[in-house]
Amino acid sequence: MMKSNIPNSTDLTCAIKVVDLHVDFATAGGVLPAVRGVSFELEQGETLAIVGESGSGKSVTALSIMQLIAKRTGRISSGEIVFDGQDLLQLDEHKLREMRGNAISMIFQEPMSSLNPLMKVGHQVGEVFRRHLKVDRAEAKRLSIEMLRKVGLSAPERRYNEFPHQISGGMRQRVMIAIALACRPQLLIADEPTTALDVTIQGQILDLIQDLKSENEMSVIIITHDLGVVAEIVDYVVVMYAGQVVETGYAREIFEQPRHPYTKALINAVPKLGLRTRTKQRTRLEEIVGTVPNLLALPAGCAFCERCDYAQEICSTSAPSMEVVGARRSVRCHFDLTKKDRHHER
Amino acid sequence: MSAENREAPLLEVSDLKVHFGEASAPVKAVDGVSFSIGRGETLGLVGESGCGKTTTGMAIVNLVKSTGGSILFEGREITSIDHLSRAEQLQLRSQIQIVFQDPFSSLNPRMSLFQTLDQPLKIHGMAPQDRRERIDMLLDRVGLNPAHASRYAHEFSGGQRQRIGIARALALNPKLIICDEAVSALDVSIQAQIINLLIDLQEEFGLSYLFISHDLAVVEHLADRVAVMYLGKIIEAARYDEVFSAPKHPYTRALLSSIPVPDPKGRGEERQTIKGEMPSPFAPPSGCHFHPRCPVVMAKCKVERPSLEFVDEEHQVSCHLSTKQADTSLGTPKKGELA
Repeated sequence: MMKSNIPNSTDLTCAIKVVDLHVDFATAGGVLPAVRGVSFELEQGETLAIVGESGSGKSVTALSIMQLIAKRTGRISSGEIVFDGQDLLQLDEHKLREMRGNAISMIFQEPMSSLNPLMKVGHQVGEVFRRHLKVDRAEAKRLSIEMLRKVGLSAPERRYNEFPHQISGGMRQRVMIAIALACRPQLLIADEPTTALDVTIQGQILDLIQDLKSENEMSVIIITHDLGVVAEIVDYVVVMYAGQVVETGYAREIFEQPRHPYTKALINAVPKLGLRTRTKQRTRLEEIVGTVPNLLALPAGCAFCERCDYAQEICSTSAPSMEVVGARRSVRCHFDLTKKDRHHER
Repeated sequence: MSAENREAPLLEVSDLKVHFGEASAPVKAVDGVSFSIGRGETLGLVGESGCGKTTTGMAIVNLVKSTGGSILFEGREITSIDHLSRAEQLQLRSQIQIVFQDPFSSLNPRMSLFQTLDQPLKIHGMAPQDRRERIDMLLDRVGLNPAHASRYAHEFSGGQRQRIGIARALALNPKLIICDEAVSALDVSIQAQIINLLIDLQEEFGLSYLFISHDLAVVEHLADRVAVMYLGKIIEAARYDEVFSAPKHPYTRALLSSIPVPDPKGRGEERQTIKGEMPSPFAPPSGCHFHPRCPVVMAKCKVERPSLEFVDEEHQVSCHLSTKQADTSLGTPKKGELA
């Protein structure tokens, strides 16, 4: 079904293409299907957001691209990840190492736990240059200080010699970005890059990612649950629920006319800044009842069925498939919200 | 809700100070904070990490010791509870409860849901049969299944754990609940459920909330009045609609303008990010604490610290510009359609 939506891999405008990705984890309760057939593609120079709640599989999808799934428990059981004309899932560990931090790099939510506490921050940036550009110590230091300056650290010569605990959370995230962008990657994957940061610092980091993106002609995948961040910097959106993509589309389309009930509910559940001040009413928020389903015991029908305002009988018995409904626009729902013949709300 | 209750506030905090470390060079985590909360009222306390909002909440429930100022609860001095008898301390603790941010670390993993809720009731001398009834009522009220009472914390999801935290806070019929980032760790769909629950419970039990949060959209939704903290001090306080439609302090404006608005239509507009980070409380700047980051800083701001003054009946601001002009000539924030 998704196949028709995917151009062939020789398409030069495509930055990365994920096709029917399945990732399973072995747990005490059985095999947990964390990612269940995820497909999407990202165009050159585009910022794509994978949006979803905890447990939706968004981070696992990102980690799969880097192939950082712990081998002890996790397994990419099938699928293709096409980058630069080759399937990353077929590469050996040596080739993967060449690629990680070089052509594709990643920043994480918690900069404190992603930096080595025993190593000066400058050396952690320098390591990337030494590893991938094979430069000597002095040159690595020069490049590192340059990079730290570029991500907006004040007094980069001094910061170079400091340890992660000596700098603030916002600065640590800047260091992470410096490490990630050191080799000018074609693709940056940012997993909740601003979630742990204060709102004023979040603004600074988002601006920084935007600036460096246009400067380096880079494509970005941002994993987030914050729809504000999506509206602010994202071009194309992939909404995930219970391990599957449930809706894709350009950011503006997604916000203006969500087609999947989950997307709509997600947008409505967020308090709107300025709304109460205008209306002078403290209304109840539109909540999404219940919780995400247990991936070890998924329902037979649609995974969102139990929580859906629009669910009909068919939803509990038959899982909807992904329908292409426009240019790079698709939805997984028996009752696309924009269809006129949709049944009435429950 | 706020105006008529102003005469007899439930909680009155005056010039509260919490200083840590040596008296010669203290870290002033909270440095002269004053506010009041009326019955049934919600005060939103906002600010970035390290501004002292959590420490303020902790000082009210005596989980950190204040080093100055006074806290009155129903007119009674509770700044220090050492002078109170054990019975009085117990009684006081039943009146003020707290819900924490992280529902994982704030529940005892070795206690079942029933035990978690039973413990406070037992300590406060309720008979076993009454306790059982009360627990059933509480679970029902916060939307948990009473059949799950024998389960342990790890068997619940994050949202359910936060419901347990709220049930525990409600157990003793408190008058004031301090919510310290109570919805911040939750997914948006679950966050909406918990915010609605807090609204319902407030209406049903006439609760007052001190709602501590860095999420301004959530605070706007819940609070009657809002106080903005920066480096240990309140820099602006007003009714919620005043703060969100006519913020007067440059820091409040910057905060509001840096929130990404979930609507791509507004994207063309420039986000006003402020430079730099909150200074370390170990080395606070001279004059106004905000002056190194302030877009409209004046020479006076670097030497003289402004005090929190009323610029109109219900609106306090600590800024040399506002107290001089008391108008909004700085222009309103561009983002978020606040007007």
